[in-house]
Amino acid sequence: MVSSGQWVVLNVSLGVVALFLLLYLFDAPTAVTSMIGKAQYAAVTGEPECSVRWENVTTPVADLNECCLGAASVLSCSFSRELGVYVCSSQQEDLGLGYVLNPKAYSYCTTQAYWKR
Amino acid sequence: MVDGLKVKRGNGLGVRREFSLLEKEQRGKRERGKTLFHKRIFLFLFVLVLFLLMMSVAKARGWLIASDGEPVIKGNTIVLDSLTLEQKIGQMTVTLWLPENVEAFHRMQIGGVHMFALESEQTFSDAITHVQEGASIPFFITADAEGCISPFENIRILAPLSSIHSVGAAYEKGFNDGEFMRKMGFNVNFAPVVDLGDTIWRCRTFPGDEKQVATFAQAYVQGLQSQGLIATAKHYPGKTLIGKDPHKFIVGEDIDAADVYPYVYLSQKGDVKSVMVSHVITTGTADSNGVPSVVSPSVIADLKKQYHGLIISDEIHMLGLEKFYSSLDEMYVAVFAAGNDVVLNFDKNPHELHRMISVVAAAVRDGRISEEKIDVSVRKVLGAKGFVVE
Repeated sequence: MVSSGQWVVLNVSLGVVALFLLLYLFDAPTAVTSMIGKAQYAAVTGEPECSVRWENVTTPVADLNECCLGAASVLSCSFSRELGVYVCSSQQEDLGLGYVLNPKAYSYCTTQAYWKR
Repeated sequence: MVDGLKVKRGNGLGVRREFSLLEKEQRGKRERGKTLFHKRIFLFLFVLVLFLLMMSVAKARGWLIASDGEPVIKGNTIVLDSLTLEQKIGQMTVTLWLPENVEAFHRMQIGGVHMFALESEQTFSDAITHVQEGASIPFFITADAEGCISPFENIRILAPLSSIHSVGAAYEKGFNDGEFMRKMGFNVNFAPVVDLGDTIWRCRTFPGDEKQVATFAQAYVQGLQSQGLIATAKHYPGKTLIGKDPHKFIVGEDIDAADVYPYVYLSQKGDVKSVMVSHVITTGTADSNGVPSVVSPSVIADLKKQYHGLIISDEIHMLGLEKFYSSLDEMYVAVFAAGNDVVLNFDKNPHELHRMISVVAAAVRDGRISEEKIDVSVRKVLGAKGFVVE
């Protein structure tokens, strides 16, 4: 026999689930994710900096959007604690083309519509 | 008698006991009432959650995006008017491949998908097979396999264009890249870059002056297209790979005759099947009138005077275009209205793609974009896919 209190807990839980499903249907997660992304970007200090690395030479890329699209297109990004930057490339061991982003730039990239990581 | 309760005189304990029984009975009734209420609420919420769960699964699978039916295709002849306006705009769209969105892409008759890096050749082949399976109109399967920029970097190293020093080498690169891509199922390569000079990546362009770049590009195009792929000369009208002042948001470039020479040359040769338009604001020989070239009707109209193949926009989110428009909707309409035949929109949300198509369709219906312009572009797209268009 379920007590009144237990019914309340059951119903509140179901209500919360229904609310989340409703938010999903109306694309609220996308909006919320977008807001969270923008807030995270605002919270990171400094200016966004992105560079491209080819044959061990690193050159700044002024167009941050172009940099983000390049970084999104490679296999993976990893954070280098030593350098304090994200390195995005398809190859290991610093071979081939790589994108080097500071945390501000990386944070910006994660807010882009095509960013799927 | 008090309220039907027998009051026994002179026995206080008896009275209390009877009151207590009555209270218990009333409490019991209230409890049963509450339980019934909670049960009804539970049932309502349970049914609601089941319903919302089904709708969520349908949305995730793209089933909420309605399909407008299949176009009429007989052999390799397609009836243009059997496509709805929304399907036509869908055919003009190339978006980012994500496996969970493929069903939605089929429903919207999306024109093509763009592949980012994957782990292996087999992964690419399987992904492309899945996309093309059951498609009444085959998808464009596109990649940026230029050389140093390539989604195949962890599978096969493609020679960068900067390493090409002869016409023969350019042809061989095009042939080999094309053969490799064709085997996996690709049919479009957004290459070669024909910008003069690359001070940023230092690997994306052919060496030499505009005449050498043009000659090498023509050889590369012939090699690539001999393998059945569509080559794309980019990024019209040029100067997209030059280092810019990072402190200036809006950067304009002055285009001269040398910058557009490769496009003039390739147009005259008549082989290259597509040209990609850049997002740079330009002056000089190709004047974009203060807006990014990709949304400049004058730049695209001038290009169309000499070139009759597919005109492809650069990806619309990387362009800073949003800063020119008060809304995404305005930007969507501008990109299609400018005259691009194919628009790259890599938004990973298929519902946003569906919304873009609806927005552009509304612009056609209210006259902001001519339907004839849409039909001309769709004819080119379908023709490039091998159809005879009735």
